[in-house]
Amino acid sequence: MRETSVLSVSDALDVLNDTLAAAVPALIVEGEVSGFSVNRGKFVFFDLKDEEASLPCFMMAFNLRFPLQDGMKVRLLATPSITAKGRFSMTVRELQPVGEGSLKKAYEILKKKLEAEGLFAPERKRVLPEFPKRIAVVSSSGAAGWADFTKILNERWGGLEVSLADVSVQGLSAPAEVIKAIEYFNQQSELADLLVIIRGGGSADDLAVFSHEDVVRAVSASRIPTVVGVGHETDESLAELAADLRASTPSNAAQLIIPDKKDLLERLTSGRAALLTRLSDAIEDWQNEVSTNRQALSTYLSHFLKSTQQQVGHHLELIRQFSPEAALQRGYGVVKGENGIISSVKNVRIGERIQVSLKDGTLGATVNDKRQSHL
Amino acid sequence: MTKDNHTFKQKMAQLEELLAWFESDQVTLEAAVEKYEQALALSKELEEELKLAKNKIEIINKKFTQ
Repeated sequence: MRETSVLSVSDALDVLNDTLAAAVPALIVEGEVSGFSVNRGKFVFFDLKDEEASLPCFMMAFNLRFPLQDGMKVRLLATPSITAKGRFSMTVRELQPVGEGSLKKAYEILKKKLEAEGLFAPERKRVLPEFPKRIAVVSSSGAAGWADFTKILNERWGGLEVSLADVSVQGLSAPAEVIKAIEYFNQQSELADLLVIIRGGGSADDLAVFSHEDVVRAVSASRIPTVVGVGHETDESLAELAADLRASTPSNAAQLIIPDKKDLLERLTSGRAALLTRLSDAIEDWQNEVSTNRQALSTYLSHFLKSTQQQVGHHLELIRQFSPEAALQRGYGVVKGENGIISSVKNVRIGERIQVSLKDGTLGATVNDKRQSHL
Repeated sequence: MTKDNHTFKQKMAQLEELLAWFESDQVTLEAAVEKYEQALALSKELEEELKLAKNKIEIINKKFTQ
């Protein structure tokens, strides 16, 4: 037996663990869950197995972001270690269900839970700004989804300021990256007008990140209004349900968040035509009013003239009737003395010479006597 | 919201207001001519902005891995 230094059991364990850590820092393993149990609500134990072998796994309950059940297939990132009791164990850092069955189960359980919390309630959904200017995007720069999104954006509108947080949108590391990006945008001193989270189509495994509990909660908690557009044909991801607006694909997201300038230009052009019509209508109305007024005025004037003429004629007639000539015609006479017309017996002396005008001539006479009547 | 966005939105809102005025029954001739000119100018400005403006697209220089 070769002589090595003599170690205590604890030291031996440390050596073994150090060696393990150096040689195998982490493994990604896929297998089926069995013997799942939670100890004191904090410690999660299960075995990960395939047809021939199994590995004991351990993780902290708060790290478990998907509901696990025996029989579910999962993919995990874990580091190997030997416990103080000499038991081998894989300490799980990240875990996600894989395969349609597992994913669907996890999805259903989580959906019920978050729905009960009210995360998907329609009343929570904010109205998006009509003309956003600064747009924050969480996506992968290499993904087709991003390219489609920017292409449609450029076709539809101008003057936008778009910032992309370049992250993985699938795989074990995706949830943490997406959450970090969402938080980054929410921490800026000047918040963007919209937060758009997009990726193109993919398998159920690829899209798992969008139904990861922490991701869904981060979307829900965003102070910036959120738009989630994940291309797929099956169920909506939970992040889409939690978002303020759901787009069916990245291209659709670009269509939903901004108007099409073509439409707006058309509206402006037709608006100008309508404006011109209304203006000429206004002019026509005014012209009609003026001509109606003119007519009314002239009608009024002619009535006024007529009635005035009538009145004047009437007055003339009266004047004529009361004129002295009319009186003479009726048989009256006008008496004149030395001092002009005599209208009172007081203005006459006995023996005075007077002149009486009748309708057809005058008489010369002398006053013989006079008598005053008492009325 | 940035200043530019306000300008565009404000102009659109002003234009909508003017167009609505023309549909109302408060239209008098003197006001109509003045408002027509205003609306026309706004409409042309908005058209210019829409036609010329380009989008600024940048990728943030930051890693989001742990």
